[in-house]
Amino acid sequence: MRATRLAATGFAAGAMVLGMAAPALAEPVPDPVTPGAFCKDEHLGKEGKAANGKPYTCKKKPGEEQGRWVPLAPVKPTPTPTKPTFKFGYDKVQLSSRRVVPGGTTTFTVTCPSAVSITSNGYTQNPLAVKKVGANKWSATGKFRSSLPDPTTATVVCKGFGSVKFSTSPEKGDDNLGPKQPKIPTGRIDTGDGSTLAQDASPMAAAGLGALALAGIGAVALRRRTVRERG
Amino acid sequence: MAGFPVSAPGRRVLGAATGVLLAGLVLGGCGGGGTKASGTPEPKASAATTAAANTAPLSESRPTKITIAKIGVSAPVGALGLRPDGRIEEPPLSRPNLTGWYEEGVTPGEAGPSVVLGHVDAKGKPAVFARLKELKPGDKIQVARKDGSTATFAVERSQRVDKNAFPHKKVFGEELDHSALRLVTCGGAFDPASGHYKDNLIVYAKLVTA
Repeated sequence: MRATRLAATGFAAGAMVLGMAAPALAEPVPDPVTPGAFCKDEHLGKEGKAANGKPYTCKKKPGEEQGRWVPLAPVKPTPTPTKPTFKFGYDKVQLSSRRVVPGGTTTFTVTCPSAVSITSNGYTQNPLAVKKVGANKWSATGKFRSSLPDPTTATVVCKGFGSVKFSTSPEKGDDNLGPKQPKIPTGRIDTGDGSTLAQDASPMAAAGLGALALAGIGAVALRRRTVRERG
Repeated sequence: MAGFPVSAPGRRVLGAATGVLLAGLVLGGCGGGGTKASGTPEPKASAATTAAANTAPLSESRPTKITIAKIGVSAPVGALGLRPDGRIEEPPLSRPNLTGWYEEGVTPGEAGPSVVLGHVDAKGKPAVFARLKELKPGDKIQVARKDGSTATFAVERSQRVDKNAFPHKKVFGEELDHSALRLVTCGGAFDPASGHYKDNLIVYAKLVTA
């Protein structure tokens, strides 16, 4: 009788312990989740995957008492702001004057986000001293020599973005610095006549032909001999 | 072979002849030179602009002489223009040691790509750029200029291309913020039908000292 009571007490205590402990163990999210099915309140806001691998979340819609497994909205990638691409060209270089005359001057005003250098064969100073005069703005002034080369050129380099070249030909009576862009040729470039290959190849070819001829003669001789033996 | 009886000695002769033929074909096929795989692979297409080199470009001055110690080149530099059909002129075969600078581009040392052509062979002898394919990255190329200065370039890479797919825009007109030099000659197999090589070899170099 006493033993029975003790057992009952132990059972009750155990049940109490278990009964209290049970709510502390969170139920895992089902794997896989069933799209559209109700989900438990404890899973609200949690994510699971359906059998097809697609992600779902437990969400309670307005007016509903219980949440459901609804598709997880794809996360839109945050667009990375792209910097406007700077392209260096003749439009980024302003010349105070294009005239090329001995003793004359030219002031270059250049837009460039990095650094600028200006070389020329016509100014008294080479390269020109370039000063930064503002945000992405550079300036340099050159004075033409008393004796000008032909052609007289000036090249403006924007570091990391390219270069532009100006040129004029005083000997041809041209005294204006103008854009000078390379002419791009087309078609094949033939720089060799193959004559060394031909020389190298000829002994080889001769040897091969000789071997072939010998083999042919041998074949004919053998055939005749065979025919004679049969006869 | 059905219905074509061949005796044992006949078969031996045929076998020998076939072997000779095959050997001839193989040897003949190798005579044209190296394969494209031997060249440095073409890198990915570069941006319109290449990063700046440390050496400041020079002003305009025509080239007078080119020296490449590594491959024994010491040659005068002439000028090449454009033909009426838009192709670049080539140095005369009668002067196999003469190189040609493309005068419609920049001069060696100026900002941008300058181009020098040379023959690989001419008149039965190796010509000025016969050993161009031996150049490796870092090898030096010196170009003496009319103003007395010497522009020294360092080889960056080489490229072998089919002549019909020559990268004209890149070689002659690439937008650069530094001085570059491109040496061009012929390479690859020789096409007896056209009388020309099938490929071009291009060596890319950049200014390192001036």
